[in-house]
Amino acid sequence: MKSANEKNVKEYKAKYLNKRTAPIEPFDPEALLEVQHLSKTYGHLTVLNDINEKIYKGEKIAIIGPSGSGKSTFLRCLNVLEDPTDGYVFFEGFNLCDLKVDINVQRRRMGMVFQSFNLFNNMTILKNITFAPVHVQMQELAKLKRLNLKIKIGNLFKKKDCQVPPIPVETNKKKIKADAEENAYRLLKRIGLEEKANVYPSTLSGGQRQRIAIVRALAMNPKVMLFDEPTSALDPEMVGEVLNLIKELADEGMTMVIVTHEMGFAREIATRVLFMDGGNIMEQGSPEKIFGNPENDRLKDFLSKVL
Amino acid sequence: MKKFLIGMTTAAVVAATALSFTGCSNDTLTVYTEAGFAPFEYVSNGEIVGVDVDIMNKVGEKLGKKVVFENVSFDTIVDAVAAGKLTNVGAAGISVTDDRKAKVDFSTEYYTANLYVIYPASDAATYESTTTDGVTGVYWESMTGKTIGIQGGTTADIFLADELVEGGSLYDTETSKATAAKTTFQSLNVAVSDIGKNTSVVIIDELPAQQLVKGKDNLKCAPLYYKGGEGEDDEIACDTYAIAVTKGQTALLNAINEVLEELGKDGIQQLVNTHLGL
Amino acid sequence: MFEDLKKIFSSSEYLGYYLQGFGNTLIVTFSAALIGLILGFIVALVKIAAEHNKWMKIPAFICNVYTTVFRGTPVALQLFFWCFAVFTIPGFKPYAAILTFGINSGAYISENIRAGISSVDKGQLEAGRAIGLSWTTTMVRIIMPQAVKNIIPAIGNEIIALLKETAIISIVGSTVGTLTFDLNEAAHTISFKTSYIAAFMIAAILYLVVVYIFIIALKLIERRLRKSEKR
Repeated sequence: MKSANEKNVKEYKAKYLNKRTAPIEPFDPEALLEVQHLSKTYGHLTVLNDINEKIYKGEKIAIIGPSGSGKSTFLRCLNVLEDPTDGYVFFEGFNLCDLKVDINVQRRRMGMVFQSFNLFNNMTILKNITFAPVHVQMQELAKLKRLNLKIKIGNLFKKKDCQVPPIPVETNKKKIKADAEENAYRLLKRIGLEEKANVYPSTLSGGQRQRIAIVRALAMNPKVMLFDEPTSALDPEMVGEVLNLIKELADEGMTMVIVTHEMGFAREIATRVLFMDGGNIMEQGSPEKIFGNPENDRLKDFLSKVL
Repeated sequence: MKKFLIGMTTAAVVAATALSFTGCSNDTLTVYTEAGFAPFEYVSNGEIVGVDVDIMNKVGEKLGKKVVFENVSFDTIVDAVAAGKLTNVGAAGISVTDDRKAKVDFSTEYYTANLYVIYPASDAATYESTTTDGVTGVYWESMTGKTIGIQGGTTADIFLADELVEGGSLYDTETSKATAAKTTFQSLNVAVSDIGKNTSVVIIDELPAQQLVKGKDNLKCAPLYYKGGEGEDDEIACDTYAIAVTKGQTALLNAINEVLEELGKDGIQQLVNTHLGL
Repeated sequence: MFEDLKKIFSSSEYLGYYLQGFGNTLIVTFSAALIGLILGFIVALVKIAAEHNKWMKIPAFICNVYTTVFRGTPVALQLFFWCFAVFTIPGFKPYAAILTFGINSGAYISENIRAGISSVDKGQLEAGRAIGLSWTTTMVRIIMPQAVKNIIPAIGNEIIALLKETAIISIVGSTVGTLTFDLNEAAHTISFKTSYIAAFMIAAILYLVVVYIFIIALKLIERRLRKSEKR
């Protein structure tokens, strides 16, 4: 009796209240990113269909597949840029689909690079890179100062030996800014664009912009980098320089998830390749297996067209 | 596409010029009036009717022309008739003044109207006084410190303007300032609805004033008087109506004067009574 | 006509009327523009926030009603409503008129602002959020500065329209010495003793002068905003 009612309530909730009905299983503490029963539907169109996957630290995942297979949607669900219709996304143990979790704090530890670069057009390159780190740290500083003020006020009403010592403030506005700028210049130097620090993005080429976008994401020291077709909007001459930068990051040990059409590149740097079609992960495995020895028919079909 | 545009523009220009000459076309007589002035012109059942309408319809019969009435704002009528392009006749209870005589020709005067003041019934004591004629009237002086609403361009406007300057009864020679404020409205209904809010009183001709307060318990009206000097009688403010005709349109002017003579004072009074519902 | 022009220019009373009318028109226009800008900004913000925050859905609905009603009815009607039906306190009429124009402009300006914000590439918002910035921060520091480039010309246009729109203020009754005596009414008063053409031509030239100065100021502002698009 009870379980039938529960089922009806669940169905009602799913249909009419848009609440998630998938069971929350305990997450794997080893995994950096984990998705459970991830589904995304737009009306009647199912874009992602009950996907379960774990991504460990140091892995470089390449996602390939025909267009409309849900690759970009899957990637965007990882940092909840797309809100999953059902299922959960776990990052370092935090359930990103839980409203109580501050999604902004979690997103700061994930870097995302877009197909159309999306550099902030109203800021110089330097400002683009330093804006988020400085802003976040200034907010922390303000919070700390407010807390100290509360402690001080509390101390006025307490006896000498009950008083709470204020938290030491170790940075200040100037230092935050200087550190951020130093970091930015270091990153720009790495990609050889330090003389472009004070220009606006509209004056740069696509390849330069994408590399700066990658560097902007790196400035926040993310644990994982998400690349959404990073070279699809670039001229062929510039694809190489962007892929080289991503390869460098991979060699340094950055965990990354890349949606790409560059099969050669995927083969070269990926530790695991996922083939998606129609909202499901049809096949996955090491690059040698996927590219050299495909089992799935759709995958064979796809590879024959692209390679 | 180009040909189509050229054709459309030519058609539009031709239509516009044709329309602009309706005032001067041979079989239509355009009369400019302001249909908010009962019983001389007002709107009833969607049509413009009134004493002036009746007079002009008779003129149309005499000349064998169709009469079309255009409802415009009052203060544009005299200038429009003076220009003579869109219309040659203005029949809107227009009073004869020297300024207007310089611009247009006037028919024989067909009605003498007194100026009345519309005021809130609750303020009757402030305004009403008994004049030397023995009637209840309103003196100019009783409106000191008030805001007076008038319809732009009417004789009320002209008379009030004279009172607000040096030599007038609403002017303080010591401070060299007018002691009352004049608010100009385009429509009498708006003016009357503002009484008690931003406007204290409204000055307008007798018959429209009586029509405007009919049925409204909170408003009253009384004739406007100039206070007479020592031993002199008080003088009622009044003006005479005539129909304005563009200078040079003698045939039209003669036709109008003939109709007015045929009607005579009695005929006009009869028309007035009909439109007053008496 | 030239005798009339001479008559006007030689009479200090008439020139005084023009000056008063000119001043009043400017005061009414810019007060109404200020009210419109503030109102329009708040309304646009509420509508934009409703896309992100579900608590804003009801205020957004009210804002939609406001925009529809005040864009969908003639200004003359709105003047009668506010001046004669709502604010009937004596002496408040000129301010009620300014409020009417402000409320009317606010409806149009809010749509201009909302359209300007919507015209900014969605990717900017996504990039801002993906890097961990809050919705408010992204909106204020990244989207708005880019939206302003599109909003300023549209609002400039609206203010020019507002200037001309204020000419109908005399339908609620115009008193010399108060704000209801605008440039249009000044020309009207002067036209009684002179001619329509002369009186209104001078008024038209004065309107033109104001609009021209405003357009030049607008161009300077736009040029400064385009600094970040230099190639």
